[in-house]
Amino acid sequence: MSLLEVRDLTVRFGRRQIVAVDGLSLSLAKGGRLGVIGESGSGKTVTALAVLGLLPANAVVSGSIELAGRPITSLNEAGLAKLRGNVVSMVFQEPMTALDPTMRVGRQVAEVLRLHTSAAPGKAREQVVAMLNEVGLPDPGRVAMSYPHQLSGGQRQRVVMAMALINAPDLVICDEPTTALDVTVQAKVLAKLDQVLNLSGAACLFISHDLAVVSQVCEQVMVMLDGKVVETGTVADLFNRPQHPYTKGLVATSRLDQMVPGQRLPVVEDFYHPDAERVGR
Amino acid sequence: MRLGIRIAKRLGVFAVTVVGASLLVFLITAALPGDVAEAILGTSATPETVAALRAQLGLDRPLPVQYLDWVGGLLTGNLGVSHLSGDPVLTLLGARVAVTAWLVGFAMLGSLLIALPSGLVAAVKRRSWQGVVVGAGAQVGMAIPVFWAGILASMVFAVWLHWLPANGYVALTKSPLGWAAHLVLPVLTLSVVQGAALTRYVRSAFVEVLNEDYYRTARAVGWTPARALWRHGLRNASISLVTVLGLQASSVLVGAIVVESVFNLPGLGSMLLTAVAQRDLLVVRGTVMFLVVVVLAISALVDFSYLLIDPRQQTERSTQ
Repeated sequence: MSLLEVRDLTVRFGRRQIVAVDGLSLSLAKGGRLGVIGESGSGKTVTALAVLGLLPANAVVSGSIELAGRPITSLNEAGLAKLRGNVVSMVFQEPMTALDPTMRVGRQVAEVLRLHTSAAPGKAREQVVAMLNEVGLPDPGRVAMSYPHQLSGGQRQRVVMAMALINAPDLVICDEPTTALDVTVQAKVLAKLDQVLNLSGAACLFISHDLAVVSQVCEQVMVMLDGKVVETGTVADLFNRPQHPYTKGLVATSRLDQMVPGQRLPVVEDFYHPDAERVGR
Repeated sequence: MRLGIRIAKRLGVFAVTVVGASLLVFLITAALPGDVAEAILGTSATPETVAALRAQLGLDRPLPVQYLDWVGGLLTGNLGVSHLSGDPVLTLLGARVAVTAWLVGFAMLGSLLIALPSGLVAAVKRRSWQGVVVGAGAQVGMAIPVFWAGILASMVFAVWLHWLPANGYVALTKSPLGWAAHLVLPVLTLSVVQGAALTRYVRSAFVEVLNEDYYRTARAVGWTPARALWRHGLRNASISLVTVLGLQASSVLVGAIVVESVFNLPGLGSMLLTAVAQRDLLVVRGTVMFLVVVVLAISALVDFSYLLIDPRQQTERSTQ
């Protein structure tokens, strides 16, 4: 049985019932990884928040989400809170603001541990420092005693990763975890993420708008456009035989190494037939 | 080093404000119509006897001389003597300050005990009936004048139910139980009125936190909305709340003056009102100056409290 099973998920917002996710289905096996790729507003983050049961109050959800056999869409707040941070966790996009600025980061990580397990304070501290070390933070003891503003973006993102991984969840959702970081740091953080996911055996839903980034972590990729899944396949399939015009554009725009200097850069719109209307527009 | 400079600057501001306030207090009290000589001698006194008494009390000297005399006394801790009773103003203040300090201290605490939980509920449940009830309650609480709330409380709990004394005061050293019983209604009155105003600030500070990324992180690791707000919102919200508390200190003191006269408490407020009525200028000036210094000291403390609450203010620069 799969770990995460989403069937026909539709999310609408507000009084005007604006559709953010439209009939999305996906399935993720235990320890599996799936990249979700799409431009901003394509419904990637909304899908992730729906899996966590963290959608804002004005969202109307239909369809079903099953995580480790539990129906997310029909659980109450207390039931969801028990799963979050424990069975499923999330690495957010903005490491600069995702941490509480008034609390030492070690304590923030320890809190996640102690919220779901009955670890004694001393034991929790040990585990926190070990986890910080595991996500590749040098001098983890000192980092644990730091406030977020004393750390760099890359360090903070590793702390956020440590928070997400400390309870060895079955599923880790990464929402553009490296978008806010510069490229060299990005590569290091991704390599470390790949490594710790392998180590813990957690499944991963990896959200990004960048095909190159997704390909470093995931084999299977799902392409979203305007709330719908337009294409799924392996990274290699997508690169070599993109089917949907949007995917073709995505692949072409990610191959900047093949550009001739002076030539106009391709945009996604180049790959649509001039007469064809984009879905939902 | 930078921290030291910052503290020194703040203390400088404090000193300048105190000097400005002393001038203002002096001028306003000097401009009051009528004087203590008339109050002492009564309406039948002749202009000559009034003038003689004024000269005796030093009230006929030029204002700058009177001001410098008074400020010089302030600096050496001599606030002068009451024209009426002849007691030193400092002694009068000392006898009264405890009552006001208890009242204001407990009322501040009480208003926080009311405002923090209700503001939290109002923020978390802002889209359901609980939030509306708290919001409406706060509005009503703010609309009630403090003297009316005091009269209402004393009518209900003292006159009708006979649970508590309607007015008066017993010193803590005389009877702790009597002291507590006499303070309950005044403190309750002031707490409710101040707490209502504070609730709105607490609510908006917490609503701001609800939109922060770290709140979403806290939710994503398994905190329920209320606990996420409490653990990660309170300290962040405190940064704006201590500012409000500092600003409220002056309104609590004003409220205390009213409450003291409603419940007939022998505090600074009732002393001040009597002294104003009798034109006992040195008592008025001494009391007002004391209240001004307290308010200014509170606002300086508020500025220093940011250093304790917000770790970002302690570090001079990022370590990386």
